[in-house]
Amino acid sequence: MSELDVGPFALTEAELARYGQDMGRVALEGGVFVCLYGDLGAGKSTLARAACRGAGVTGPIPSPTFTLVNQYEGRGGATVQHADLYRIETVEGLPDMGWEGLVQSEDMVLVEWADRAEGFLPEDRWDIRLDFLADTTRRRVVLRARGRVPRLPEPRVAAEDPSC
Amino acid sequence: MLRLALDTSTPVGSVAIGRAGEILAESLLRVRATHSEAVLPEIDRLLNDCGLGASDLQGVVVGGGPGSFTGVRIAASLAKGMCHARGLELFSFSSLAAVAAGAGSEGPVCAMFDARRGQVYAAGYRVGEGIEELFAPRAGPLDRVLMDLGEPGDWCFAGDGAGAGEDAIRSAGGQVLDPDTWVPSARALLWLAAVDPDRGRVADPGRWEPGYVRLPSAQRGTGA
Repeated sequence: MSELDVGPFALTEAELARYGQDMGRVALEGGVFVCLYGDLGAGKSTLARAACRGAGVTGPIPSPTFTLVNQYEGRGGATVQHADLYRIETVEGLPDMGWEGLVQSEDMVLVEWADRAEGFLPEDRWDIRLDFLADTTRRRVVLRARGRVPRLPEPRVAAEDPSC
Repeated sequence: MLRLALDTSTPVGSVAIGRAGEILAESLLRVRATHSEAVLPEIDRLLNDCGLGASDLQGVVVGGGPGSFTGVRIAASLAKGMCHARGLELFSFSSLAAVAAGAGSEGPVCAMFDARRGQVYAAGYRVGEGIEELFAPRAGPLDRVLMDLGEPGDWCFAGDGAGAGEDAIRSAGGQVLDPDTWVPSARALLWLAAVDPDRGRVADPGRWEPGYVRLPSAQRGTGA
């Protein structure tokens, strides 16, 4: 059970979306808790939407910024939970949004702004961190699988960019 | 002092009615999914069996979690509703304390629930004439909890988290108690309210919320 960072990868928006689909497919099958980190515009929503598509969600995927959690039906009737903690200013806001229920569920869970739940994140999870690069058409992506979770897919790109 | 006690924080719900160290009636509800539908009729049935009515109750003792997110709130809502409607006294104890109180062990007991996704809720107690909390309810991975106990061999373990982690606990030298003792029982809650009422008394039931357990700071960090 190695817990090492994988990457960084430098992905275009199209590559990020394609990666999200791969990641979402596996996350649904394993009921994985997926934590997304990164600043505004770093690509968390792009990745989360693509992951929902990869999990078989059809129809609109609105941002959960104001609803806090959106629930969708994925492939095979499995539930996909998509949460956004941007509006949770402190961890005191977590109980009211049903955080514990998300953690205890067996569903695939996508959490944007997961750093807002620091100290409350489950042990078994995927961490995906997104950052800006000097090349504004690409995003820096670092992956880490923690605890007992399925293997986290890696982007289908030619090579890692050690300079980024 | 007739009291009703209930706990639905784990897949096995528990309801009991008692007074002054005497249990009048109790039952276990084994289906998690229907806790919300099953608990209230069960309370009615127990009261009926004792020839009592809701108006005879003077207090409610609730297991305040930690445990299943939904389950903890079912018991809390019922308890708060009854206290509000009938002006009853509310007492709350950790559901982990209820496990320890019912474990029947004289040494230190580590009560554990499965918190899912690699974590357990755990707390430590010593039970005698009363109950002493050795460490407060916390959440974390099992191996971290065992490490922090120092000498796991000195402890007995109970609760469904201890069941799920039985192999790790045994190889660390700990003793896992019989599964019959894993349920946070309403009977144990009545005992806790009798021996340590001040610890459990809730001053303002309307504002009371079940506990929320956070990870110890050593386990924080977002990684990636």
